[in-house]
Amino acid sequence: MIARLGRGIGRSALWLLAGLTLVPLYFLVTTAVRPGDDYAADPGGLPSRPTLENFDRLFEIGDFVTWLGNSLLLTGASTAIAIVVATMAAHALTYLELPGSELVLRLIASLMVIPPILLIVPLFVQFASLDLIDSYLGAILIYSGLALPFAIYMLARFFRAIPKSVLEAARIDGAGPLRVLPAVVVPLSKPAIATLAVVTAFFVWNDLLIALVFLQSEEHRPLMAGLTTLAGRQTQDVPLVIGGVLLSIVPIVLLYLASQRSMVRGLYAGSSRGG
Amino acid sequence: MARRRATRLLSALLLLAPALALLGIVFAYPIVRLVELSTQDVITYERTLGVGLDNYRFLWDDPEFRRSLANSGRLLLAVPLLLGLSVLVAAGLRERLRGWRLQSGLIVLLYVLPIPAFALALRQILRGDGLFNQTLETAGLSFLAEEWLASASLAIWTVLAIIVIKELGLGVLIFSARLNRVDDDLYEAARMDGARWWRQLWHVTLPQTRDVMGFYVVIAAVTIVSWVFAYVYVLTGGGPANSTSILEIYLYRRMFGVASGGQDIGTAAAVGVLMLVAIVAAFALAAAARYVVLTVRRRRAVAR
Repeated sequence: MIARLGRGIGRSALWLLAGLTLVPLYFLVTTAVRPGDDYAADPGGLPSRPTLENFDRLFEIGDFVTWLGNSLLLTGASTAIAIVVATMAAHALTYLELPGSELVLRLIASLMVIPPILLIVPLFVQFASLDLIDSYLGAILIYSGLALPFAIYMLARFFRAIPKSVLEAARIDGAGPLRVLPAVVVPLSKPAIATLAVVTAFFVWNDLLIALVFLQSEEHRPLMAGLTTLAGRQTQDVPLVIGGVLLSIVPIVLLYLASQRSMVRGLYAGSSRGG
Repeated sequence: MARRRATRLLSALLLLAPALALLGIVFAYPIVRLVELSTQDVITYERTLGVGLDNYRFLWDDPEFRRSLANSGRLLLAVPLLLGLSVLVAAGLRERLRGWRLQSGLIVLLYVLPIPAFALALRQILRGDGLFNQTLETAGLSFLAEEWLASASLAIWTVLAIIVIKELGLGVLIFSARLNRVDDDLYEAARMDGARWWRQLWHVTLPQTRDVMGFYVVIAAVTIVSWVFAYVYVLTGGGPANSTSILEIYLYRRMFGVASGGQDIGTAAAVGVLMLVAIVAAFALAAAARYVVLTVRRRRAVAR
């Protein structure tokens, strides 16, 4: 009797928690379709006259389209650079069997815990004298650099799992270390590389701090920073901002649903950093 | 043979150079420069003045810094909460009750959503006349309604709760993965012995997950002390009346002159150095603790 009661409580607690995660999504969807005055009159209620005008206005304002384009550009470029650079480094550290590779790998992995907030102080001073503030190039350098420790660590773990016999066969066929990478290692590691691409893209798309500091003009601003500053200015027209927020998470939700399994595995690998 | 070694070295150089260059630009040089800046007064980006430990002395005396430090400390309360909830939820999901896939999918989805987007929604939901308070009213619980983010005494705790709910997904993921590796026979044996859910939790789940716990606690603590900028920036901006300022917000405001007293890069750098020291110390402590535990275990094994 008591056991059954306990089980019932446990079961409802899990549903309650899962339901709780739906509240923000419910709020975003119902608020994005309300006119501004409708929301202001009753912020906790349902739309009295649903409308799609917020989305029209977002695209008319123009800024939103710019932010969206910037986010796509920054995410695409930083992810691509991080993955190419990390693949090369991870290959060198696992395949060539150089003395000290393990130590170098551990050192690189330990950089994962350095918080970006303290790096922005020297980076800002440095980039100011190099004229890299408010430039795509500066931000892409930082994003791909910040993503590298995890990327190298995760790929190295994966590359190590490739059977030695496969690599040996390529070596006997006369393939040098630079040939083995595109010919053998990369084709075998496609799932790991795909997972890593998703995790890295999430990191760049979701970032606020780097964007606030290194992409300050309206013309270079990505989505999260744009929406946050819009929310600061547009205190009267909340549904407009919420409409933008809803659109901004659509790619994340879709990508998550499409790659749920492999991504969960990837996040787990990332979380076991240093462990 | 010598030729093969030469190709190997050359390949290593080619393959590693871009990564080392990027890591040098983003991590290595900035960390050195951070320490240097923390002992300087930055007049312009090119012109600095050595001031010794003055920036640190300033921090010691600054009430705003002390409050931010205290708030970061308060937020550390999220670590035991996250640990306990993660283990409980992962153990619950392990039962594979109806709907567990959906439940875990939603909890992890919340974790991957952008923090700024999530916080922008929560800021509206938690305003005085917002969805949350209205729901409480409808449920006849209006006496519980509060100014969740606008009250100087309450806001930091609201921020803490929001961080726990959002970050829970990672812990659930870690402990679920760990529990999946536990032999079903262990649970089966416990059940045969008549152990109920709580006793199974105590006698199987907790001992089996202990190895991941230490690691998760360190990761969670580092996250809470140094990676929650976006939550506070969007939810409260450090207000009302500075009541939710944390170390990261304090550093940011010093760096860009939003704090009282204007821009002061040297002081911002000093905050950064202190955070770095705290993180390195946390990891050193964790490593030392692990070493001690392992040695004790080995000795016990030998004694037997």
